[in-house]
Amino acid sequence: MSDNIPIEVQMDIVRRLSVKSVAQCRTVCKTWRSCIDTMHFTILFVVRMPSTFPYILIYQDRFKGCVKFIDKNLAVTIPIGSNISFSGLTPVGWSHGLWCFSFGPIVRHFMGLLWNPSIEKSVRAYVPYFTLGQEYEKRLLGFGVRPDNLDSIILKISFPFDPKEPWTVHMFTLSSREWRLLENHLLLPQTFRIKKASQANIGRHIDWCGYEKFFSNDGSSYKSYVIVSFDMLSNRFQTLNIPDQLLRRLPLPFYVSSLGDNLVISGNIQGDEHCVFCIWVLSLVGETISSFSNLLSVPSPIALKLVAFHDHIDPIVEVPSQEGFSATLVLYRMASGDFQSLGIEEDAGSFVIKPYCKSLLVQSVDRTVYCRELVYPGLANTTLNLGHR
Amino acid sequence: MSTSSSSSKKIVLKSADNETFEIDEIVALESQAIKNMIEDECADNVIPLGNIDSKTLSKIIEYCKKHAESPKKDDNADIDEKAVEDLKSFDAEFAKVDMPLIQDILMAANFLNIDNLIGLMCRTIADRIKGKTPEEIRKILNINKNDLLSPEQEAKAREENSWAFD
Repeated sequence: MSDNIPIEVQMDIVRRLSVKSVAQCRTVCKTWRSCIDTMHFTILFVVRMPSTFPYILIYQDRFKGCVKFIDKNLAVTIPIGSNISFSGLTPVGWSHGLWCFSFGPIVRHFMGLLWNPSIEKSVRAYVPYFTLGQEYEKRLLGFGVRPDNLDSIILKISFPFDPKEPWTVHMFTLSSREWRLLENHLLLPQTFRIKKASQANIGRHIDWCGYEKFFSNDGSSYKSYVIVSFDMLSNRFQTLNIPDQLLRRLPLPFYVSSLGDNLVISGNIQGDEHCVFCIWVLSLVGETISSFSNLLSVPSPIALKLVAFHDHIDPIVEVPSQEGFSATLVLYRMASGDFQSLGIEEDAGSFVIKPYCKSLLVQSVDRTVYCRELVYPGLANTTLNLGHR
Repeated sequence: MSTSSSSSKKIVLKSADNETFEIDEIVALESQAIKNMIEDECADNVIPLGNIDSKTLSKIIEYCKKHAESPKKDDNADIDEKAVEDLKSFDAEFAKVDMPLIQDILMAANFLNIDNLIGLMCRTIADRIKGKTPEEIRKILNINKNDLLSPEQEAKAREENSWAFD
């Protein structure tokens, strides 16, 4: 290539290629390799969302983690190329095509693992524990990708059992490769708690189902449910109040997910004979819920679970078997009201489906293991079957 | 080899091999760099382009003329589809030249800051190296030999992305 063509212009050529070609271009010359291996180029390449298929499906088959594609015929197909053992990995979240899992067979959330299936690469970050006592606190991991600079963020949110004590939140950014403690003024009052069962990623926010616990004079307590939201740009937590007329009709607690830029709330309202599975779609403007609508309310003898939306409209739900140990995946066609089985039966509660995006996220990161201020040095040396791709 | 049509203001460009090209100002304004020079009033009657040869410059002028004549997208929301199609097929024909000339045009377009042309040339080169092996890409683009990876570095880079080389 003529040296008179500036490297930015050369990269303007390379960014137009497929993710596979870009990976090959790393061997064309040293200049290209070092330019491709930058966050700047990762952003230039952008995250390419598929308009429809394939999806990636993750589930457990008798506690063994599995990952497969769902193709355009809604058929579950061959496993994705990866030498990660998905056993013992719990999905935390997904954003911009990047998956975050927590790993911890002995100590829960011992490690966060970020995986970009389109370049078959993963990087991991040890989660810091400063005292052994913290093992006994309640905690959860949160995950997000900042839309402005595609930096990955992992949050470790800890609540002491005693609600009089404040939260502790540590934030890891992949760009800094370090955990830092968030200042107290960025957190919510200690009376708030987050449900760790699900998180949603919408724009610059990570959202969870949360509640505030109140105590009555007679000693009984009740919970007031809210949406807890973390702004990845300001690093600030906030709450979104749910309008009363909506709150009365919601299953509590609920799962959160997203549909486009909308927040989705789903769950089952328990009745005497059967329950009602419902899905609500909430529009957010700034820090308020501007409108909401009921997408689906169906009576069901057993509790269902929303897994994903096909074609941005039709819910894919998990239907547990009678005994409740296994579940099947079912697509609900909104237009016709028909259920269609996807023909797969695996461990109940383990299904996750997300789009397969092509991007270079985590390409620029070398595979150093990030390990700082660990209290479990013995564990750090344990050989973990996490693969090296 | 000069062009003149109306009584509008003319700009003269001079190539590295001392050939002069007289063009309408409106055509020259396709180049952001020349536009800036004119606005800053630092353009003399003749603008010397010491790093662009006449063959490349005439191609660039051909491109700018066509694009200056075509209605701009943001001028009019409902430009007829035909004009858009016409410009598209012009671009496609325009790009049917050999790789050294494409690179010369790209270099010149970058120097003159002609956004659309940079995009067209980058797209063209990307299309030509698409699906090619690294070895073929090096040959097509005549990559500087001093910049090649050592065998060890190449083996490492391949191993890191082994999935891409299956």
